[in-house]
Amino acid sequence: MATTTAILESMERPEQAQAVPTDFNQVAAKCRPQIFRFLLSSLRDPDAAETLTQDCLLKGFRNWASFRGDSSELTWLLRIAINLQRDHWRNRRLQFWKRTQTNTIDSDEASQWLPSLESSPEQQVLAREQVKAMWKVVEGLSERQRTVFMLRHVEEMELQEIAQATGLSEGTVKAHLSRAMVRVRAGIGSRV
Amino acid sequence: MTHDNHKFEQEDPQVEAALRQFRQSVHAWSEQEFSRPRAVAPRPSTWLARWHKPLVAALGCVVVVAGVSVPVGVHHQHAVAAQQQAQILEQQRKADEAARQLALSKVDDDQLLADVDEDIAQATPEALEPMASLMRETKTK
Repeated sequence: MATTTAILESMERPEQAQAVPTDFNQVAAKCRPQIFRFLLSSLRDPDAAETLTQDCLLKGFRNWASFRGDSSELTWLLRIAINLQRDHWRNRRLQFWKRTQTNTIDSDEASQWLPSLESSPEQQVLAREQVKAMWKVVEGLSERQRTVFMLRHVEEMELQEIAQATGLSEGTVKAHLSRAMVRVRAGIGSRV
Repeated sequence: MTHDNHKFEQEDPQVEAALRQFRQSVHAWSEQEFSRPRAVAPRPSTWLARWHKPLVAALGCVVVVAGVSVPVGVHHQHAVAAQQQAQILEQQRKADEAARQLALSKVDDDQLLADVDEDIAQATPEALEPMASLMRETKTK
């Protein structure tokens, strides 16, 4: 996987790369896994997530001078990632007639990753079922609900941070999250 | 999570457990994907890469030449056809004129013969003059 330095080296104007404040490199290195994780969970396409992560960091690098510090660096970068993700979906919808190659992973496959291998096989099966059910629910959420849900329950961000990242008010974030949770409860409740 | 957020999202243990499992699963998947080396997309073949630009340029030239020559050719064909049509019309006009002249000349001959006949008819011998005068009188009446 290319590092942040590689991204900067691949820039068209190398003199600009030299002018990058060193803290952007640090910020990018620190935030990259989380941005990738958010995009991966939203798109379920590792290649698209990787590409959009690169785009996000590139955009962040170009606009780093405009970062005023109103929010954390991660929130700022996640806002860029959310916009890129929205554009990505829009392009996919527009290009429905094209034979676009995607590596989107279905919910069955996505539920195969479990961290705790030391648990019993029964617990693992149960956990896998829960994760699969959760992916099914997430699939049915609207784009905005999914974004808010992922930021809250996967990235464990505060509501205020989610509001900053999505550009929504805190009340709207709560409303989206509440609607998403209604679906989650219904989806999980019907299986447990 | 702040206290307010906790109050806002008090979940039952089953849902909490499912959310936790989901979070851990996504984190595990992401870590694995993040550390996986990515294959570089294959570059197009060297032949295609080498000839791509000249081919595009040649195609562009063909399109430009076709764009110019086709309308010129069509225009030329139209001009030739119009010329041929004009020639045909001219020939037809000449033929018509000749036919008209012929018809006129025929009419003149007929008229001439009729006049001659009349003149001959009027030149009656003296012996038949009284009868001829009677015929003229009846005609006038």
